[in-house]
Amino acid sequence: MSDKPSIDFGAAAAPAPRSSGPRLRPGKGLDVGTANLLSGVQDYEDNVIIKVQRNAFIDIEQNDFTRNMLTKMGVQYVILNNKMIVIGDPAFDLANIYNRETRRPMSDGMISPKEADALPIEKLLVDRLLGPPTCPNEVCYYSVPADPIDFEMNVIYHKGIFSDLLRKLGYNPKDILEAHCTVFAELDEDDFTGIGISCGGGMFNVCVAFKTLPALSFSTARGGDWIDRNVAKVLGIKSARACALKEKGVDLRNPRTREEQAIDLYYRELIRYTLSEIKNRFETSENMPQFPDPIDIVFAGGTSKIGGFIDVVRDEFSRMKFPIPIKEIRRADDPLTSCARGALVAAAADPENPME
Amino acid sequence: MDPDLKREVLDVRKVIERSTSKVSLRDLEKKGFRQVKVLRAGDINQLIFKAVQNVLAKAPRGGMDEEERQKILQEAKNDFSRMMAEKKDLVAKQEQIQQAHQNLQGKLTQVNQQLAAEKNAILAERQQFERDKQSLMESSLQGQQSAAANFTGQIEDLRQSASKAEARAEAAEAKALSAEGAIPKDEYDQLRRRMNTQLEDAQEDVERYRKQIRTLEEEQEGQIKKLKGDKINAEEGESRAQTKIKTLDEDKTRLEEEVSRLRAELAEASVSSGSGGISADHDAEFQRLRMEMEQRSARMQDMMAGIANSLVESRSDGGGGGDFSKQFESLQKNITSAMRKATGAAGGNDDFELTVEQASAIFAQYDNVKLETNIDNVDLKTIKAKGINSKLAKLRNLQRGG
Repeated sequence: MSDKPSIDFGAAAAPAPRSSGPRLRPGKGLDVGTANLLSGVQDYEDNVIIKVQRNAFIDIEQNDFTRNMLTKMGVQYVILNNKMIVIGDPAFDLANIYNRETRRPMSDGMISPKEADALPIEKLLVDRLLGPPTCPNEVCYYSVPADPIDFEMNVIYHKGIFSDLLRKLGYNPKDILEAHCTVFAELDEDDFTGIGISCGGGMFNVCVAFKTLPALSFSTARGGDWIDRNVAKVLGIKSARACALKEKGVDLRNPRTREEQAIDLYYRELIRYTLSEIKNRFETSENMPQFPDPIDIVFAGGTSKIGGFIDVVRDEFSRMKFPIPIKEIRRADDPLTSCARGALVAAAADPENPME
Repeated sequence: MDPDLKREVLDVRKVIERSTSKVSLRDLEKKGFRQVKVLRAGDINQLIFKAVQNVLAKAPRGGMDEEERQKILQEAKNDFSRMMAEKKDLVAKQEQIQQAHQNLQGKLTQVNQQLAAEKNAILAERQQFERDKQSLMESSLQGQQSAAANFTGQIEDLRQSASKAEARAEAAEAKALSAEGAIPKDEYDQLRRRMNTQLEDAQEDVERYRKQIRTLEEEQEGQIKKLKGDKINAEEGESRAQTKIKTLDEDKTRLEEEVSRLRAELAEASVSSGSGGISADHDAEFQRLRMEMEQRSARMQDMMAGIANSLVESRSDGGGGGDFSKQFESLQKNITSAMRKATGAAGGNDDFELTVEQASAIFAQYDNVKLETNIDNVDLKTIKAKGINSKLAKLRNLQRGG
């Protein structure tokens, strides 16, 4: 392979595999998250393959030495506008080393208007995650946030950007609400009826579904990044450092250090806030379905991965009078991949997806 | 009268003017002339014309044969047609030049308006920026002063607590000493033990208070150092901002020079009417200038955002506090948004709405961008997840109405 590979984004990708690997079934799911991008695909042995890419980058000084070192160390980079941009998890490591903030292509669940380099980077990452379509017109479901109830924003631009990007890669793009993906991935035992909550980096997305159909969906503009920002503020550190502390393995049931206490405090506040917003929304919504039986609430998403998350949720939930009878509150077995798996289920079941 | 004849009359009048002398009526009277006969130029011309006609009538060929006459007539007609065509052409060219002139005038007015709007917006934003900066500096200063006062208050409280604890220890010791010999040994020992315990507690308290005082003093010292660092960073940030503002001013001056040059060219175009191809050249030049102006406008936006950024960095690098950075971030956002509004550029402000088609058009600029990357050479994190067959089966069953 060449030392300086280049990628041409001009034409739609040809429907041919990028590299040898398992033969893949048509239909892909893409979780477009503020913190992570994940793709989901199924092979002919019924394995689901999830690829993960941290949705962050940092620019560093560009020279040949750095370029060679990064490649040898297996660190992804891209040269954009004469800047060397390190992508993914290493961007967090570098941010911590240099005591800087990582740059994020997305904020609050959508393409960041503040990041001029967001579009080409996002295009590159998505291309790498999905690869070319396995057949012409392959359906790809990509997750989008629901309308937030506590923040003014418009998802048209975001949807348009990703739809165009996927179309240019040769896919038949279809958007799906992030929390609806959680319903598809986690509530099959209940005939896809219940409440799916996707806890992301930028937002928490909620979807109340009845037999696969979303009856009510909305989002709140607080997520893992909100915790990072606030922890960073009280501890006097950068958000990237706060994120690293959070992901190191904190248990909310037993915070041991000052940093962990700060994380615990903001997690509890976030959970309390989200549950109370959900309750308020349910109480004020006119179109809430009447469920014949108590339903499950299932949490997914990277922000719900922290130790003790579901205990804190249950604890907070027990203190409020919820308007709907709830059978169980649980967390997805694999919260990080839930949305991508849900999107994959939707893609595979879509009648427009070419059959194998 | 026949137009040709009229022309001749005019010529005759000129000949008469040139070949006669003027005598005043008074001089004529002196010479004894009381009455004079007046012959009008028109009459003279009539006479000449008649004389010529007579001569031609008497010699019909007039010194030239019919063929020559026809030839001359034809040449005269051709000359006339050519001259008419030239005249028409000239009029068309004049109209074209006039139109080009009007177009350039219109464009120049547009550029001037754009420039004036841009200048005003920059000026207003700069003033707002200065006001916000001043207000932030003031609020920061107040915060620092109140933090310093808080530190001093806490240290003073702790010192008082330490003094009280010391006094308590001394009192306990004195009480124990005074009891020695005055009461029975058992009672004394018991009292001594109690006093010792109180003494130890008081000493521990003193030690703890002293430690807290030391910690607070260190923190205060650290805070002072950090504030000094903040101040230096803020000054550096301000100096950077000033430099950038200067560059912005220079850019603006250059832009004004371009407009002046355009004006000069417009004037030149007006003067050199009659030379072909001016309109097209000017149009191309004007397009180039417009593009340059747009690029400069984009650079100005970058610079303004850079100015705000540099101040934000200087604050947050110096540990100026989250709220402070947030305020500057918001300030930067406001500036960028205002710049966008001022220059009419599209961007991601909160009120901005975009259709799917427009979004697609935005992405189109990256379609042919070739990026150097090693992304294909590095393996992505891959997870094998639970199969989805059972979910799919249930979903398809539900879709079929099961």
